[in-house]
Amino acid sequence: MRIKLRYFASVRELVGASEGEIELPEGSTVEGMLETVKRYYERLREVDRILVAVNGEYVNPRTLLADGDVAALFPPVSGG
Amino acid sequence: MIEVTREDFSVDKVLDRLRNGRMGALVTFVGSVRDSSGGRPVDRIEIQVYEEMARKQLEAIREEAMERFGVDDVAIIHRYGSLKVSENIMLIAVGAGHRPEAFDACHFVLERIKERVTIWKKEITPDGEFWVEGENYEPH
Repeated sequence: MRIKLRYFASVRELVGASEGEIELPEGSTVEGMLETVKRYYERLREVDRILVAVNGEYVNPRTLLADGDVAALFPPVSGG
Repeated sequence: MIEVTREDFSVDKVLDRLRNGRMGALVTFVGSVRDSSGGRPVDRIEIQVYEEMARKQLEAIREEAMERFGVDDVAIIHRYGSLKVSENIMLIAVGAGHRPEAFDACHFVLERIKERVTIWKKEITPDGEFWVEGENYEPH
């Protein structure tokens, strides 16, 4: 299945792009996706913590992904 | 009223839109760009936003605040882009019958935004550029 990726803040700078796509086996979790992305972009291991939102909602690492999902990867927020 | 925008805002204009005859209290919070951070000078900041998600989150926070505190209306404006020292970053305006719930709701909205809304701040300083690390948020 194909997942669309969006990157923000320090994650975007380390990846060097604001978005991308990834092909994952059926039944992949958020945690598995994150590990795969970190294998492509080793420098992401420098970020203390990466949060993930799928289709605009925060998710936990065990959440299952589905074909066509949009996953956003970013550090803890700092607005306000 | 929720806005995520590059444009500056006028507090008076927002209050004019918000206010009605039931309100005896209008509380506002304005976040502004500070010229230092952790003892180091700051020239300007850059704010990045995941806009679709932030908008939905701000709508949900507004509704939660109105329900939880029984306030009449809430306006939230958050800017993004490049902002100079002393420029406005954000505005929270709460209109309510009385001051206790207006202050409480305003504080609640601010803390929720800082905790979870998908907005990031980068400080541009003479020593380089630094992303501000937020608190770790546990969504579940």
